[in-house]
Amino acid sequence: MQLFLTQILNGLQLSMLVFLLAVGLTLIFGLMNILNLAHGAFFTLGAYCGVAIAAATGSYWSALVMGPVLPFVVGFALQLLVLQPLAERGRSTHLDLALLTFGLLFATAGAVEWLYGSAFHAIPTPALLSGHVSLLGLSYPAYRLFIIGIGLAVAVGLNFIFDRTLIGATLRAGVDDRAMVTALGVNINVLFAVVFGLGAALAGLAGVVAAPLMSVYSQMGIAIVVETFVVVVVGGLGNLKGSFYASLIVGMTDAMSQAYLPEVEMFAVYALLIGVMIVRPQGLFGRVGRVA
Amino acid sequence: MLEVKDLHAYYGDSHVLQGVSLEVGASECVALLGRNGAGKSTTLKSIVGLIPSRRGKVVFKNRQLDRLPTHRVARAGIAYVPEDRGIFPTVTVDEHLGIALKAARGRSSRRTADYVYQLFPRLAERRRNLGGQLSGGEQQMLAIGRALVSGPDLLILDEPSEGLAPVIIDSLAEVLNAIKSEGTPILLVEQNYHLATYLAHRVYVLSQGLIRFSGTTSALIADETVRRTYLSV
Ligand SMILES: Nc1ncnc2c1ncn2[C@@H]1O[C@H](COP(=O)(O)OP(=O)(O)OP(=O)(O)O)[C@@H](O)[C@H]1O
Ligand SMILES: [Mg+2]
Repeated sequence: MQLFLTQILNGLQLSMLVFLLAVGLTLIFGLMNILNLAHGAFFTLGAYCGVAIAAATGSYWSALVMGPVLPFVVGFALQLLVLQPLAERGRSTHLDLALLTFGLLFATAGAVEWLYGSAFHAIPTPALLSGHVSLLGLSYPAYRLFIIGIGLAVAVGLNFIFDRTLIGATLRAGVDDRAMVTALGVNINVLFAVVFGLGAALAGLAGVVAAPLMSVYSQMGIAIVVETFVVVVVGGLGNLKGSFYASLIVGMTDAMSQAYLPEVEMFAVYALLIGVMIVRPQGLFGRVGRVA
Repeated sequence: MLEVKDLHAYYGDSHVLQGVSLEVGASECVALLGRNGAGKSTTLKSIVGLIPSRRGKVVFKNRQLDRLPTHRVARAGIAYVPEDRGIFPTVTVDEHLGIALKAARGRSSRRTADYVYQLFPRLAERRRNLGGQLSGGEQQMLAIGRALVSGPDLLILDEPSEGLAPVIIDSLAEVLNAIKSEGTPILLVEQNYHLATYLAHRVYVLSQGLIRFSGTTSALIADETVRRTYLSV
């Protein structure tokens, strides 16, 4: 029972981390129709920015706030200056853009390795959250609960923006009929670049948040991009709520198989992906007809 | 007001508009008529910049628009209602108007959502409904209301009567007539000959990408050859 509860919490924590990555990816796909394989690079970028800022200021909290800034700027510029113009000219296919972003993912890993070497880094857990909290008869690390809290807060915040604000309405409209949104006088390219930047910033935030738990190394973004893609596909491409539920499913699958069926741990998430692709290719939470 | 000169448009290799020229004056309602596939919608899309491969001159209020992206054309004061109405299924009626109002925030002539709800009281009852939940007539009202809320200097309508019941077309005709009387210039594409001749001061007839007739509405009504050859009415 103790193990089960611990694994539920671990699963939740992993889910929220994956959600921070997947939500940007799914929005970018749903809005801009770009399969952004470089998304993992923003995770790496955020983590290394966090490491550098934490080392310079000695403060985890400055790293948390400032770590996502560079990913935002790079993401915004990448979309506005590179991906958008290529997609607009109509000569670049899905595959071209996927290959380009795939190249960027590896180029980032290479650049980071060139700058920082291939050693492992970490950000120390902030003193405030380094203890344990007793919860349901367990003693559980406070920092992991903090990650769960951040993930939930981001989910609630994004959901509010998407469902209840005019910016959210404009984004929904952009998914429905992009040309019509421009015909109303909206410069949708800039709006989309901001969303791309925010998605990158959330991936960067995930990188900082993960740094006290996982190792920070040059290939970290490549490792996590696959799991993130499983979430996006299971949740339905472009589906915000779907990506939240799918994150829970993927995180729990991973945590539970780790505890109870360690020999299939590597495989469980992929089995889930294959199963979903066969039964519901539009994703468990996707609408039929939104398969791109 | 609007001057289109020698407009060409292509879909891949097919040369759909082969030099269309037309004008819409201040406070004028101009109809563009022609059979299915004549190139009417393509002309409107080319004016607002939704056709990537186009060539020719589009001048509006002394500004050249033909190189501008669509959102800049809209900000220049041209409101466009497409053939499929362009209603967003996942966006509420209120939000449709909100998006259009926000995009038009620089315009002094912009109106309010209440203006649209007074024009179409039916929409006021549906203001919290999603676009996808509206009937065809309600969608058309919303598409026109959304276009008007910016206080446009030119209203471009592509077959507003398409797919609507006769009673709804009648009330639509009255609303469009009122908009026309207020002095908003209108460029109207219509398959409904009666609606078009009821509203328009002048008419262009398009066939296979070329203007075949241009003149006043009464001149068209008098010209049986043109009507038979290009419009089958
Ligand atoms: N997206 C497209 N790709 C290729 N050809 C197209 C496309 N849209 C229209 N066409 C072709 O261009 C020509 C002009 O089409 P357009 O839609 O402008 O005609 P229209 O006068 O608006 O007709 P309708 O009365 O049916 O709306 C037609 O032959 C049509 O088949
Ligand atoms: Mg048409």
